[in-house]
Amino acid sequence: MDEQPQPVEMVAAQSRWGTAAWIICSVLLVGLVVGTWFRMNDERASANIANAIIAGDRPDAPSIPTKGIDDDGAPGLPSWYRSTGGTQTADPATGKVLVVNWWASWCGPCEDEAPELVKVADDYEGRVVVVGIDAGQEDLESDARQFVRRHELTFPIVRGTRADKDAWGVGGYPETFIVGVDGRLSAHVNGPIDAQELRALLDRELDKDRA
Amino acid sequence: MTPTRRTTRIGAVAFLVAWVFVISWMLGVATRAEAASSDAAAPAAPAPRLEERRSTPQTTFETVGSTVMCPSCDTTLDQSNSPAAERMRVWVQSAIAAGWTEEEIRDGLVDEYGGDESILAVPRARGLGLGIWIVPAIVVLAMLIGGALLLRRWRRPAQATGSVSQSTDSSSSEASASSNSDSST
Repeated sequence: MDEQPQPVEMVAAQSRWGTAAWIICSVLLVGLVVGTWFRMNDERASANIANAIIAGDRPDAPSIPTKGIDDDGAPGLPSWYRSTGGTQTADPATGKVLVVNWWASWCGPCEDEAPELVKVADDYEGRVVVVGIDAGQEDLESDARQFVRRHELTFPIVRGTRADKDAWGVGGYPETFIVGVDGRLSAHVNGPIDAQELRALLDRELDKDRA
Repeated sequence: MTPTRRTTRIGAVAFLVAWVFVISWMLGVATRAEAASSDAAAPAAPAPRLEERRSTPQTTFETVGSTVMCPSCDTTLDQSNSPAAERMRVWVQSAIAAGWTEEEIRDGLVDEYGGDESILAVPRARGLGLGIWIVPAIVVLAMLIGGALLLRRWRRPAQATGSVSQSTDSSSSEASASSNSDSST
């Protein structure tokens, strides 16, 4: 069959459609790329906390959730901690060094680590506050309560959310951070920490404050 | 087939592919937004306790397992075997044994995970979650209208020249005529 001749205005109309489709597609693809880039940037930002500590910086500590493990809040959270809505105070007179420990009840290493944390929390009472953040978005609340009872955790325990996890850049459990009285992060330990290692990190941080 | 027409066809295909991208992207955004909004929302009313027993199970693990997400692995519970999923499985099975319904189990799980609705495989149809139902409907409608418009554009050349078919009522002969003319090039 012969090629049909097309009137000039029809060809023009078709090319207009083609051009419009190309423009729309280009805009959408650019949007997709930009969106993906922003998302990747978000992920990089949280990974940067750990990297900054390794590089010797003291990045600002993200805020700590205040939702307790029981409906009646988080018993044992110091008043200065509550008043600042979860962030460490900048006043060295009332502030204390914080140990922020992320855990989950189903995590084996967290079981091994819990007694060590209790030991250190007792030894450093008055100078250091240990705060346990349960991975609330990944851990059944009833399991978490049992974990607290089983290990007789005496330090404050709060429930974290997905947003908290992202803000702290936590990838797995357990992870431990040390927050100085200036509200900045001075150390990050990936995986379980024992009492000896934690004491060394705390002594270093407390010496720095005294100096 | 003229170069212009080929360009139009490529454009149309690209147009449809782009829409598929947009749908999947919007679905992702809606789910993320819902997850973010549920963080801020007040916790729901406490779920009934597991001790409240009904005489017989109301549902099966197979039914519930595909409607909730493993909290740490981006797959549904029935396809996960991480430690977190294992605990979730135990919880769901004991809830089933206690005679909870499917909906009660999902509510109970959201409550257990701190009100985080991102453990639901399908977001609830309210608030921002409504978007995942409304947006695709609008997009599909827009695609249908766009497709219909494109089809009309493609058919019109045959109709306008009138060299193949003189009749204006038979759209099928126009369509076959235009496809024949395409394949001949």
